[in-house]
Amino acid sequence: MAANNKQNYYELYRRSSVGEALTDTLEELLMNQYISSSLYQKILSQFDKSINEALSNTVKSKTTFKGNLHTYRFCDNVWTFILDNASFKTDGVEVKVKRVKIVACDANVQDQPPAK
Amino acid sequence: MSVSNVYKYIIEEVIRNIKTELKEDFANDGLQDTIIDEIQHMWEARLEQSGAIPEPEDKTPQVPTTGAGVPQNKTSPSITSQAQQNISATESDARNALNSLYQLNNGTPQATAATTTTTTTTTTTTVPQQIPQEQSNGQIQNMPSLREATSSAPIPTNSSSQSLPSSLSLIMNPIPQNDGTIDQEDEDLEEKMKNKKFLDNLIITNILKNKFNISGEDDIPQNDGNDDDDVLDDEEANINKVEEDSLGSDLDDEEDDDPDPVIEHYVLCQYEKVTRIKNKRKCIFKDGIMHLNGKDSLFHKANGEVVWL
Repeated sequence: MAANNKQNYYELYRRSSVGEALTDTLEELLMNQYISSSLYQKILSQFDKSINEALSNTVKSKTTFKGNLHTYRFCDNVWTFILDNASFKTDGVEVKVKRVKIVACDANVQDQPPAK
Repeated sequence: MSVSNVYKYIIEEVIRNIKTELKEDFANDGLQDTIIDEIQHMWEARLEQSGAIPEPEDKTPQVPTTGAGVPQNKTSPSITSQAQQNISATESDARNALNSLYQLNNGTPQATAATTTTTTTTTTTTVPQQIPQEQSNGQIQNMPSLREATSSAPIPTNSSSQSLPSSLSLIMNPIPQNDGTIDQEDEDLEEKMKNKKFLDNLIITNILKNKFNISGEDDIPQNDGNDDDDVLDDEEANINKVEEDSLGSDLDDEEDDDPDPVIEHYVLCQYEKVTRIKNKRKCIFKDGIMHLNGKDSLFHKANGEVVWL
């Protein structure tokens, strides 16, 4: 673990709306050769770092949820759930959805150096 | 912190870090700060477009602030508007060219003296009767002037700040070369006449190919220009259909373990613990982004119980 930015952060959040907004932008710039692919990668890594830190440092809210398990999968240390008739409650506000997909990476390995 | 604040924080964090840590990369790539600002603009614009940010509780929306805060770079607004102009110009140009082709087809070959024309092709036996000579002349004459108008068009009144976020995308979109056909104004018509036969044949074959699509109302292709779009649309539809068909192999069968190819509600997070007791699973998650009913919300921690039925 030499430099701090060598640390691994989950790329999971690239699929969020804020992440997709960035990746779409960068892909467009990359495709038109405004940026190099190495820069593209670096910016996304920076995004991984920033969003991981932002989520763990600036977000305080707590959520509870329940639902019927439609599908579950545990593969490569990633949990995937698909819930039916799920409800999420955050700060007293409840949101119900018919079907939701949850993708969860292991919170306990991220801060350690990559295994191999 | 509200969602939009967190997002704003993330964006600024990333942009700031790019500007400092990755400076050499940008220098190596021959890029300036403007491109970074542009990334920020496009990013924010796209995020805004996604509509995922819930209404802010206490503060101003995101984009206006940054739009004002970041100095607009000098080149891009005008380029944008020009690009925009050019896009519409080429579009209308193409349409006009197509229209006048039809007109030429009906109007010119039969000598300009004739007031009504008979058609040159087998497919179009009746239509041109209604087309007066002046109209086809008008069309022909229209073209050069139209070209002039578009090629020397002034920079439009588009408020540049609004169009800015999409500016780069517009510039960068593969815009058809505008200095090729548009510039030549005089030869253009002649050339078109020369190529007319060839293009006519192309169009006719295309029309014939798509005949079944338009034959619902009329066996005869619309030559007065109104129906051009339909022909194009049909072509596009056909292409799409073919693509769909080609993907319909057995290998592409939907997998059972991922029953919803497009799941509109999702949660991205990290798990601390997932345990099972009988048919119940208890989950302890953290650092999550939830996208439910089109809106994002975040959690630091989430506890949940899900039941396997």
